Amino acid sequence: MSEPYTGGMNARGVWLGIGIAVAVVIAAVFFYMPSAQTAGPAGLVGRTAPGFSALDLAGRPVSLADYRGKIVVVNLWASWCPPCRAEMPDLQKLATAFRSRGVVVLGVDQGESAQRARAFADALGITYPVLVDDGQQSGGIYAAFGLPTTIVVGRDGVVVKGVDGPLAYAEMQAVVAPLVDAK
Amino acid sequence: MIPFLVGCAAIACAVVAEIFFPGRALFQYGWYNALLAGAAVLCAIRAAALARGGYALPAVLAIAGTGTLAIAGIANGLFAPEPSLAIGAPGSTVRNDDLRGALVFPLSSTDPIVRLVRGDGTADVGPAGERFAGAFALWQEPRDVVAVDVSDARGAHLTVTQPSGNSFLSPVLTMPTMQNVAGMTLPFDTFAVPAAHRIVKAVLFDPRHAAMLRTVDAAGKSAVLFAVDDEEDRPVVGGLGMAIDGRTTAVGGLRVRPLVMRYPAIRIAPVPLPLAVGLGFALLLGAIALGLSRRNLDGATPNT
Repeated sequence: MSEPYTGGMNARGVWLGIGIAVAVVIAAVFFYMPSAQTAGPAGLVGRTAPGFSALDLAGRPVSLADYRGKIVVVNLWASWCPPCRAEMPDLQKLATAFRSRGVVVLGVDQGESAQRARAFADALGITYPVLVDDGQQSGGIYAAFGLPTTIVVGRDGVVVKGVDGPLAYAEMQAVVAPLVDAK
Repeated sequence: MIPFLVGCAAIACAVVAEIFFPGRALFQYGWYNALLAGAAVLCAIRAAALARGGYALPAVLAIAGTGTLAIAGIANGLFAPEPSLAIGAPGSTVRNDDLRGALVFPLSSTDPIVRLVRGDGTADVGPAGERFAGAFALWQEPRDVVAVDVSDARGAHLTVTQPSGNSFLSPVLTMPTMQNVAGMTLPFDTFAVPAAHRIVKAVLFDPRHAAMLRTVDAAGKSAVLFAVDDEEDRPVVGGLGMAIDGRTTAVGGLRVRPLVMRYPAIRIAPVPLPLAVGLGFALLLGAIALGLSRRNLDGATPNT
């Protein structure tokens, strides 16, 4: 019979076991503890903008990728939405003011006909590109909580700002101007 | 030593079962976890005796491994979140705090990959098999959803919104709740048509339930019951109608066409921490190897 095979492990073994148990509990708390997440369009900030495609008022397909290298302000709207109507003249002003500096405003009508979107845009004097997303895919893609929803995409294709609700001109300018200046 | 190692291995198997069969209610029962804890305590008592009797190193390694596995299993059973079902409309991104990330649902049901996006990268959850992400297993559970196409009496397309749904601007009803209608428990959802100032309730009848309806000949298809209210939740005249899958029906001044399709949802079930399970197994296997080699060297079990 050999001598007891302890190897001096008793005390060390106990501490090893306790250490492992504590580590496992800490790891479990870390893994199972919910983290704060930003939801909605604001949650897209810092991520590559999800692509989408829709038809313009002439029936031509347009996608976000067509504007790569430009600063794109994607505005989701619908004709029945009063805040959208209130915001659109300011978007037009933004589009006009920054057009020559590489900024594009895209108005994406949600779930309505091209005729309806055109009539509405004409009535408001909108000249920036208006797209018709009758399948309402972009609303889901951009995690819209409501209308209007505005997503600002930088030249690198990364979302810089995601806003639920209408923006005033000063707010739009505050987002876009630094991106233009950073050229 | 051998019965002790068998006991440890049994505990290890019980914990591994939580990985191979994630989401089973059994693992969250208190008695199951009490049993697991009790078995681990018995093993610890036996390990102490073995350590005193000449098997200190393998006994300590075995109980450290088994204890790690048992704690991982019990933590999963008692402290991990309940299994949940993440439902998203096509193209939508659904945040999930448990996963510390978001699930990106495909634009169409023909592209059946749901993508999990987390800070440390992305993982695709396909239609077959499970995907492990951290301490969670994910797999697809296809379910019936209803895409609605709404137009006014002149045929002009109208925006559909889901103010209380999981994707405000999606025309796809994910039917997340169940409603009791005429003794049948059926998927239910609501949507709004803001341009027409209408709120619409939708109840989905699958082909079996639709066949039980006397007023509609669904011809083996699903059907959707629509109930149209005004924005004050008052029913409107002619606001109740049944539409067969793919066909347009006039209801409450609207023309509504439902399209029933299968679309993936994601079941999310917690599993024991992979790191803890790996560590526990490594320790246990080391103990088994040491114990057996020691037993072979001695030719007999010493002081057990």
